[in-house]
Amino acid sequence: MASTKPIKEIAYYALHILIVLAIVSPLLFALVSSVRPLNDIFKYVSPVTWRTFIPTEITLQAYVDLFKEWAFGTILFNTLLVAVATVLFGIIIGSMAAFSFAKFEFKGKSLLFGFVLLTFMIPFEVIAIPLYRLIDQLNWIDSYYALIVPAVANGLVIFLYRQFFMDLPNALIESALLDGARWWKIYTAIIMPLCKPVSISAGLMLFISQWESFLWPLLVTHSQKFRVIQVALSDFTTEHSTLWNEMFAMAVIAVIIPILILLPLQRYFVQGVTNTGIKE
Amino acid sequence: MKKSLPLLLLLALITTILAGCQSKNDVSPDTASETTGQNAGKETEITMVTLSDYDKYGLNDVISSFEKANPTIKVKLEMYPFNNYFETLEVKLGSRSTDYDLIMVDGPLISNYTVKGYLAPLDSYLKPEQWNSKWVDSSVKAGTYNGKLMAAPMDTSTQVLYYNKDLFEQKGITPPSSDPDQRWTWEQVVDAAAKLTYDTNGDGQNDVFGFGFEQVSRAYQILSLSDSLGAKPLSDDGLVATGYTNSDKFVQAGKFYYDLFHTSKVSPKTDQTQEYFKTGKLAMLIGGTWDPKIFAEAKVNFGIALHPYFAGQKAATPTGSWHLGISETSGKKEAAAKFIEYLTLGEGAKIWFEKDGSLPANVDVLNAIDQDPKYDQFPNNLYRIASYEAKNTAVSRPVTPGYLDWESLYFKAFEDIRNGIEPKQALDGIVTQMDRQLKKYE
Amino acid sequence: MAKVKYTPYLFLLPAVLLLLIFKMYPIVLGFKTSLYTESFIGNIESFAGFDNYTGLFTDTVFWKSVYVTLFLNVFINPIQVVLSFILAILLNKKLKGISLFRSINLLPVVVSLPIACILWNIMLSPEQGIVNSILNFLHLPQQPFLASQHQAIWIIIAIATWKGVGYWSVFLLAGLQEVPDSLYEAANIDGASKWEQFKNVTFPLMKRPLTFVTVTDTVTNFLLFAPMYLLTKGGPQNSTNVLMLESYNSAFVYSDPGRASAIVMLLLILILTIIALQFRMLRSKV
Repeated sequence: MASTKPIKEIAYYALHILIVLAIVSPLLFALVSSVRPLNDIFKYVSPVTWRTFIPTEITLQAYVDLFKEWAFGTILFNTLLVAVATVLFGIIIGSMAAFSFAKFEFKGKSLLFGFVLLTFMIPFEVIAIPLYRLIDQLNWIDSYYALIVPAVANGLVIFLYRQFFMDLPNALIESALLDGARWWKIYTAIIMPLCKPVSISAGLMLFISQWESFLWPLLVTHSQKFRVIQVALSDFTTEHSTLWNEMFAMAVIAVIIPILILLPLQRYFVQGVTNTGIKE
Repeated sequence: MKKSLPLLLLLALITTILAGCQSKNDVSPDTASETTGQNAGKETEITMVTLSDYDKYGLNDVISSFEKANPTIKVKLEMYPFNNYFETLEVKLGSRSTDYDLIMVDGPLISNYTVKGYLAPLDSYLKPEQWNSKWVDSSVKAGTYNGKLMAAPMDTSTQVLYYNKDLFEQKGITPPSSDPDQRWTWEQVVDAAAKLTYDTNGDGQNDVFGFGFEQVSRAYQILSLSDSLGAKPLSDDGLVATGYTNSDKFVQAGKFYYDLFHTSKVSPKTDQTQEYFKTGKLAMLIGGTWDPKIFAEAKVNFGIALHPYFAGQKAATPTGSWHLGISETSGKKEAAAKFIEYLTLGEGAKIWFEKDGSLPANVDVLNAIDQDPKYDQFPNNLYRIASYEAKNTAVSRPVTPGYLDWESLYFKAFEDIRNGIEPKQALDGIVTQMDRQLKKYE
Repeated sequence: MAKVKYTPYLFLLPAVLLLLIFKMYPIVLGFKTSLYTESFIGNIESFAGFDNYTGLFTDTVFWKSVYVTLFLNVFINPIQVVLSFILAILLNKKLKGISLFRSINLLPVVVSLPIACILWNIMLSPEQGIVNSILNFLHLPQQPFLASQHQAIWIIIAIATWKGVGYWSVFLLAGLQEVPDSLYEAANIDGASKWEQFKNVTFPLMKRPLTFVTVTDTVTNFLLFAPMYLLTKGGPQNSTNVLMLESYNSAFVYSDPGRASAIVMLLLILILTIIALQFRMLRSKV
């Protein structure tokens, strides 16, 4: 028994490293290109040699230019603000709705749940024009409202929370009710603290939806003041040429930041309901 | 207190939404000033929709000198990235928003925007005698639909043949010429390209290629092939593709394109032809007047020659560029027209050319190029060549309200040809799709 | 329980209100659009009843898109769900440094899609591409990849899978964390094999997260068109021209919002049918 364990562990590590290679190798080109002088980027793409993957001349100029010429500080601030606000409001609103779906019996429940499911099947591109007109009428064009509010209620988040709430034992709620607790208190003090791992997943989902959002911010904001990261990325491809190194530099930062945010939150993954010993 | 925080946030959010909903019914201060702003003595602000980096290319210089000449008008830019420009316009103009006054539109799309009611005719602001002889013919043609001037040309464009001097020297090949009497034929281009396509490191793959188009499979550049053969892409009313986009001459042009990738194999199968030329992996490239700056920065030893044509046929070069129109829903058309006049007919035309470097559509500026000795020598002689082509060989793209439909299907067909589908099969297949889309404009 | 009367509605109110305003209202307008055609003379919209729908049924391009959409989804959804599940199980192992692996698996998720497409396009270029150079080095025949009407759709599946699996595994991992160790210990004592443990312990407890991932992944892939838009424009020979791309082109290229909306309405019906089937299947299974 003792001798098989390390072998197994080595096999797992090997497997993980293989997966990591498959994931990382296409991204390597972006990283390498971001530290190359602009005219070197396509020089070594073909024929493929070791130079394709290892830069011979390294410059951080592209990263410096991002802040000096492209106001990257503002762009980062905007994107983070929009994403974090959406996560906060989205989690509250979504989990409340899911709580209702998972733990109550009421009239029109399946109809309303069907409605929620329907809302995340609607492709954004098709509602772009009516939604734009609505935002225009609200006088929200070129404001944070236009970026945040339409994204806060998310059918997927409601669906995700509902799936996990349904696994929570009803006895938990019943005993709290017997103790005279109000529903709001049950939701805030009992249910939500038990759902940290789900909240992390839901938060991730909302965060990424805003971090990746492109067409909507492009349509509803136009001043530099409200530029977000994906729109800024598309600015590097101009009519007649592409600023590859700056584009890749911004892309690299756009990857690193969400990962850095997620890293410390990972410990909540292992603090599930299981560890509290409540689950039946 | 801690518990009620989320509740408070929530209340705040809902209040904001409700407040927002209410303002829908109010007359906002913006729209109120729009109607009165024009005739009152105070400042009028007009908004121009343009491409992301255009403020860097001299539009700001034009605006500041315009504002000096017209102190009561301020011009604001709204800029969108090139790759998503048409979608953005479609949403903004389709929503009939009153937030925009000036719209920068691509020449061939003017008819489409006209039939959709996005553009206001310019005739009542710019009199024909003002511009009749002031813009090159192809630009006037592109800006006019149903006999009305819908958008004024900011600039135009042409294409030349760039070549890598070092690669030609290494292989001992005489490079193409910039003399209109010795314009290379396509046959000469392919001959030279075959000698310039080779393997440098012995791995069995070619690393240097002879020839490429900068705008791979795009009608703007590729139409010059069928234009040189005298093939018309669409019927005169612009609504029928069958018999035109798949005519024998069109298929012949398609076959030439096919051969570049599959028979002589002198063209690389990449979209990044400009990058290939910049890094010495491509010997000849068809490109625009914007390229020399990029090539010089990349330290390419390049030369400029005339756009090729088919032996025994006529020379035909691509043309057309950006126009400026007034949004139908704009409440400040008068002020907007003043800016159009300044940029396309007045002082602004000169400033725009000097700062941006696009080929002017304004005849006065073109004539100045022909006379100024500054344009005698390489690389500035590019503008001499370009001016010659714009006046003599330029062939406009077809005028049709369905240009975007036609062009995107054209692109698909030529991409298929590039990927190895027989030209006749690809073009016969696409014309039925084109006709289906064009039918709705009848 | 009398006081419960309004409570569930109050909990639902904010979400439902926002969804009604920002999702339902625009899609109802979208449905209305699908009943109109644009007449370009005089610029008026005229009521067309179901003409936009019946027009689609005689359109060979539309039927080809239906086929491509179904073909894509028949393969991509099972592939992604199974791979995500395997990845989640691997990421649930108690190894040193596992949180690093978990983070790396999220890298493709946060890469912006246009950038991902540029990178894969360079990797898979038919000549000189990195993958083809490796094939050449190994004396294997070079492949056209996105330039081939038989391979392009599989390349799209591969790129979407590369980008998506890490994301979906997060939700399954969260589910696996909820399976108490005590259950495995009990199963171990009973002498159950690994497969029996999976079938009898893991799978039943994972049903709700699995339903979530299956349903959401299916919806996401039915609506997927950005890689096709960026890489192939639906080609070669319409082999990657999914319904969403055709709809997008109808709205933004072909000036035909009626056709665009009609396609999406039919697509919604298709998705709803498939989702309903999935709910039923995942409920009745062990």
